Amino acid sequence: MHSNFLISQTDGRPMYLQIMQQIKQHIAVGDWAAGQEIPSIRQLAADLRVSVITVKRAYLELEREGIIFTQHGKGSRVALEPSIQPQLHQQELQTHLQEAARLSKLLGLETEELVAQLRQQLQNT
Amino acid sequence: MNYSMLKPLIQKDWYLQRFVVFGYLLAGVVALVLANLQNQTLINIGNLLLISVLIASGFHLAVSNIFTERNQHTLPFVMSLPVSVREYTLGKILATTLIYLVPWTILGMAGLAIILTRDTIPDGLIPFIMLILVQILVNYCFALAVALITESLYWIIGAVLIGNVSLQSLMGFMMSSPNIKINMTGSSIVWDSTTLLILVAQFSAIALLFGITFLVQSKKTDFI
Amino acid sequence: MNRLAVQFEHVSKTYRLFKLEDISFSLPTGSIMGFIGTNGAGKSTCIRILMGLVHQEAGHVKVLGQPMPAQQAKAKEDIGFVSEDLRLYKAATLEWHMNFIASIYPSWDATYAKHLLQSFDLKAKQQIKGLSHGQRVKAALLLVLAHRPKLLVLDEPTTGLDPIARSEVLGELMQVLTDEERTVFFSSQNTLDVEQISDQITFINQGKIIDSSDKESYLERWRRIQLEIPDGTTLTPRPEVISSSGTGRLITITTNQFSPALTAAYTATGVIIHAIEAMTLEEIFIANVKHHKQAVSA
Repeated sequence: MHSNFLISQTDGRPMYLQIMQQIKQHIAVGDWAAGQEIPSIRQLAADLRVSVITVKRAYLELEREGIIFTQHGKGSRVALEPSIQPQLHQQELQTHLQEAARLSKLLGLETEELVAQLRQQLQNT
Repeated sequence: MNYSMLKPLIQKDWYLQRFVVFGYLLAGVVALVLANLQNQTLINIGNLLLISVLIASGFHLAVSNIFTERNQHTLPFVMSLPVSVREYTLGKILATTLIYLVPWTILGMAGLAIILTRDTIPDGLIPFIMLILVQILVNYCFALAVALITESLYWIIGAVLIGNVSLQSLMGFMMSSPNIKINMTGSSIVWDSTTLLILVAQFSAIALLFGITFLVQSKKTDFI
Repeated sequence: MNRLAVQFEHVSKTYRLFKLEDISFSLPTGSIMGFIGTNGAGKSTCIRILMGLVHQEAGHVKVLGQPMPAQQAKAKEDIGFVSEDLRLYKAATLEWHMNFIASIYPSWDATYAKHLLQSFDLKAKQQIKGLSHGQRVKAALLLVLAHRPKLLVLDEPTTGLDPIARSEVLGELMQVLTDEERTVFFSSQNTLDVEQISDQITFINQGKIIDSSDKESYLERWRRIQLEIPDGTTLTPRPEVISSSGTGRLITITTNQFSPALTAAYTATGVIIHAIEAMTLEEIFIANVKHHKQAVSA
């Protein structure tokens, strides 16, 4: 199961984010069903050869986002939401919109110009 | 003190020095064979070889069992075990002494046996030879103590040289003492007050050497 | 059960040409601490004091609850130690060493030892004399891993190992930590390893501890920020900035106290932030040492 994880130190993003993203992908794709048990923090840390504290941070953030939940003494499980896909996609959209806003400021675009480019993209896809 | 570690430490040293002991025992047996022949020249060679074996094996063991542990960096390995400096020192003193006592006792006893069984050699030599043997043992303990305390090869060599001088002095003293000389050439074994006094002094020296070594080692604050 | 596996409190040691000063840090049970510093910074001395092989002049050391060096024999019943200057007996075989260790530690796990022989690619019957450097390091690690000690103290465990061996060793170290009662303390020049597997990082430089914290928050404090200073604005020096480079309008600053407040402070003065980059532990290492060198000579 965990051999599907790919954590890289040369990837620019912090390791805890990589772990979070890959867990979310597993859930979004359906590998891990709602309510299913996921590896303990220490076990995942050993399997990925990543520090326990990093995995802990990833799990904490995921719990904060409502994607997993941890029962004291019973390990962690995928949250019992019907589907977290919309939530994940919403987050991704927000990230891309922030980036678009930043770039348009650098380019000195007016809001209307940015909206026009967005319309263009929507027509194309 | 945790005595349970002494056995593994002593066994370890035994295992690592087994070929050294075996080699010198072999050379010692050759010496004894020569010393037991009829040809006086060969007998002299045999006697000389025997003393050389006893002294050289001592120097070798002090170096191979004590000095090389630092020199070859195996000391951190031993000190990573559940031992303190005191257990290490005690284990080293015991192991290095007991290992040496094997050739020393075998060759010494065999040498004395030759004196007793051969009619051409007066039995009165026995106390004289015994004092020499014990002096060689004292010198060995001195080299052992110096090896542990100074951690230096040059000091060990110095200790062996001092030991040799003390051995020569003892032999010279005994030859020049008229009482001992008479008893030496006699056919009965005589332990007079002088010889007994020397023996007591020798064993006291060994005890003192070990005590001082143990004390000095325990006080070291930078063991490695 | 001790909450702290290792405690150093205001430890000092003076040598003729080198001084360890006021060394304090602690390592919670169940975590792994990476100890980093330049050559000669004092890593090995600290480790020797930790093992009771060198007596500190001042300060207290407790390992697995035992005061050191007084109770070193007791503490070492549950410790596995490997250091760069440690050697096994050349004339003996790995098998002899395994039997030797097994006779001393009742917790020796023969099955696990066999598994380690395989994954480390070692032959028990081989004489230590015939082993390469990397094989010797792996042999020493096998001997300490196989009796499952509560604390592993490793001085440069992956130095000189090929990438395969390094990966195997890191894997075994992380396996140790699946047991939350076991702890690892290791020093390393390899910042990649330390960054990857450490829970805690302690940074020593010229005999003093310059940083000791958990890895995640430590990495979060360090950032490289690319700034543009538009005409009319000036860059006021800030205490959080430990170095800056660049001339003219584009300046790159390095900070070890990054926070949203810092970026807000910059944008408030009109300075434009082009990029905020996280730093690798290697970059942090270099920046930190440089910063302290300047601080000392100032």
